[in-house]
Amino acid sequence: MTSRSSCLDLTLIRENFKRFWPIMAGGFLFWIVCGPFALALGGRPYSYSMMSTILRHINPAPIMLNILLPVALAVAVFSYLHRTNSAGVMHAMPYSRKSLFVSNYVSGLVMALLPVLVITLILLAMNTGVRPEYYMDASSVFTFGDFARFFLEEFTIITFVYSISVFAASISGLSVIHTLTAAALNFIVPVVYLVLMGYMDIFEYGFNAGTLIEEVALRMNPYIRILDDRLSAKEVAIYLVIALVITVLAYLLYKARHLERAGESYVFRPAKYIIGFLMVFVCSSLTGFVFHGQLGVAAFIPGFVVGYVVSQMIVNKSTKIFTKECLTSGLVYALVIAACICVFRFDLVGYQKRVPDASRVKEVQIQSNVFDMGLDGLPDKITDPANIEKVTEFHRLIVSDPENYQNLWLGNYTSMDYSYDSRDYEDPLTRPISFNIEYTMKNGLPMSRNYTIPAGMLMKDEGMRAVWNSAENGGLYDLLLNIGAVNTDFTLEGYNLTNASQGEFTNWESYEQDNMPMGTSRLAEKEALLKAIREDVRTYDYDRLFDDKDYAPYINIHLDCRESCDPSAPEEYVNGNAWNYYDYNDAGQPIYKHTVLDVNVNKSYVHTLEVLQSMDLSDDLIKAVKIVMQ
Amino acid sequence: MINVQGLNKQFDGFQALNNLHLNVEKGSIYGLIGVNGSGKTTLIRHLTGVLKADTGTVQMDGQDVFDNVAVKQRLGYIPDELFFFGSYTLRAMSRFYKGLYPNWNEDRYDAMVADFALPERSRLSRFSKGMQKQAQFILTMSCMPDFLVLDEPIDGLDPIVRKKVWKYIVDDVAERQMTVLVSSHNLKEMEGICDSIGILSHGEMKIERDLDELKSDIHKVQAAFHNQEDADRAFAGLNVAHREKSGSVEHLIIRGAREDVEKAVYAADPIIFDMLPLSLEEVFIFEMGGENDDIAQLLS
Repeated sequence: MTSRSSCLDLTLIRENFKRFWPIMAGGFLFWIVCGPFALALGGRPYSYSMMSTILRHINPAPIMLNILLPVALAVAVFSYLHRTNSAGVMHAMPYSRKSLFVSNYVSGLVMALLPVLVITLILLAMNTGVRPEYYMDASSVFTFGDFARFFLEEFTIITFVYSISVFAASISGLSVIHTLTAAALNFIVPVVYLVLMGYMDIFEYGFNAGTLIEEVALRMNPYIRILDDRLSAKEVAIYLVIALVITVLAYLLYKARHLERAGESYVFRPAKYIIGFLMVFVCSSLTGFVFHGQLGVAAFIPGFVVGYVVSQMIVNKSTKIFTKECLTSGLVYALVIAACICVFRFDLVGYQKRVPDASRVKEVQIQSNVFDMGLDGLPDKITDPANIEKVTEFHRLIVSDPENYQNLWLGNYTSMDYSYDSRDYEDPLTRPISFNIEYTMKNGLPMSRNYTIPAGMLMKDEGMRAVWNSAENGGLYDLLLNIGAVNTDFTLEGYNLTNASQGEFTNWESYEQDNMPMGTSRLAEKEALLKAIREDVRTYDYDRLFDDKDYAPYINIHLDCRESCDPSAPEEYVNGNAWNYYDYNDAGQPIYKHTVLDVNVNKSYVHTLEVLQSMDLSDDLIKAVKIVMQ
Repeated sequence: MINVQGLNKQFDGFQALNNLHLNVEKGSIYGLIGVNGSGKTTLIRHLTGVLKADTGTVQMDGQDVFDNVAVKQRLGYIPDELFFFGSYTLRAMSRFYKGLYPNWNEDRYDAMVADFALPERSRLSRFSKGMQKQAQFILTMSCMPDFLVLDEPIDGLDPIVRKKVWKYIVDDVAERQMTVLVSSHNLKEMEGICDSIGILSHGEMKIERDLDELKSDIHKVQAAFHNQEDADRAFAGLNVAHREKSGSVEHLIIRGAREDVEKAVYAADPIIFDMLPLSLEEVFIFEMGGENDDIAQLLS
């Protein structure tokens, strides 16, 4: 006899196992097929890469199970709440609401976790039969820690999804609504976040989603997060704390639940309105985003109507959706959405005009398609206070008249649409260019903006010219000085626009490559070429950035310089016009550091072109050089 | 004993129970009657701890029922709409109940299964409605409850089974001082078994009395007098609830002590005088303010 005063009732847990074990068994069989069975099919030794795929959650089938199984079990164990008779009988039995909630919660969670626990143990047992692939070192084996981490990540995802599903049980009055709500709530936070970013993108000039999607939206749910990357210990802790908070909320709502409302869509009136609003909000936003270019703000209306009809039918469990109550809630939803649009449309939070005080900026990065071609970029990070001051001044100039730059120059052009052709603009200085600013403040917070401005605006700005000409921007030339011809791979390739001279926009066409691998072969040619490139880069000036070179023919010279490095040295990567990668020894330590540069040689690279002409290149590439020089 | 004080419950603005008071003495059977929608099931769901009162108290032996495991372990409940776990047999359900109720009596369970002749190993979902009710009755009575709350317990049962059910209840009341509250529309059977009655109307307890007292306090009278003055004089000092005349015969419903009514009528020298107690059904119809036709039928 189990003590009824305990909040964990073993009798109820046992009964739940008796009743719902087929769901657990189904999940287990699914896992077996996707995991150990698939592994065993290949025979011993078992595939290292397949085991790795399983342990790193790359196989999509089990990931799908991570949401289906917890939702199904939450719906099953709390199904008694959603019928009047079962809700009445269960709550008349000698249970407190606490013991009912906790016992059902625990039994569902254990049933959701047991399959993956057993699978982890089976995989651990099979690990003795796993051999590294032929290209791997013999020391490449999976450790107990790899399996523990795999289970911990699965535990986190399942607990998170299950807790949200139990929360959905507490607020819903029907099993079908519970299922839909559980599925929806598991994605609602990233969805609402993305919708708000959509509003920013449409209405806020300068909005830069940048890494926000990757760094924020993907992290809002471990189920989504695992699709992108593995969970860190910190993330595991955060997700479990969130799951705990959601569980406590679910418990408090369960205690306050109105059992007489079993059979209704939602047992709490606020939940009915909130869920209804979210459905309408997401629907209206979707049509708003898709058709905003054609219909303006009216694009939000079709989605609103569809969302209203569907949501009212669901939350009221009736086709009578034009009652006074429904219409009133619809009116309130419309007002809230209109207010939301107004906040973004009229920039009521001052997002568009915000420029940081230079004294509070630690560093700033600038990216633009003007700087993308050739060795003409700005330094990866601008840290000189004088340069930061000039960048913020230029930023202030951009935001001083956003309507002008957004509409006068670009019409309906948005940051999501880069499909323009500079040849549409008679004056190259009026052509739109992207201008991305990323500040890192002294308190560590980032601030990012992405503008589309006329090229002439950047060219004529003395401040930005000064930044470009500053000592801080000498790094790339210095980098070229450090590259030696002997230890560098040269790869030459020509690019041109077919029929560019006729003014037609067609696809890029590449010319044959010519490789000059590192070593002493063709050393004289390589040294001459390197010297010419250095000279052209040294004499490059700011105005030449704005040549109409984006669509002009050019020769791409890809330089890959290899140097020995200390194996104990940490990896480092540089961005901008150069980047690094490493060669590793069998122990996984870096032994060679590669510095890679791409130089796009257009007709302004006079010295380089002169050398190229004298080199022993393929006929195709010689033709490309001639086209560039025209 | 079961005690309800000042119970109020609102559903979305609708006052389902309104300042309701109820008392059931230990070892007695209390009949709860009322028209459809009067609040009986809502009251019962408060008595069984399913619903939480907006205000007021619901207690058994001085302890609140809501969320009180100790009280609910002593409480048996047969709802109008039954619920069993899907695919469970009676045997499987009995094991579940056995783990839940400390006073579970396996001998009684076996005896009742034999008595009602129910198949223990068949799925309950395949039972007829009447058989399911019997199964629930067996499970509930095997828990040896101190308090038994029944919502339409004999609905769907044949007369033989009904008799058995009442017998078990009456025996437990007599032997174990079990306290019973039963809600039913079968007033004839209620009249034969209940010690006291509560009539619920629009969420309020209209009448709560000992059954015998209730019935002895209201009378159906037929009388004829020599003239109208005698008739008027006879009923002038009495609490006449309803009066109508058919030819020279007066038909009345009068509240009050039987002796007082007889004394007043005899004082007017009636030609005909007949006084009968109202049945529970008649009291119910009258108290619930039935249509004139209903009352006329009741007096005929």
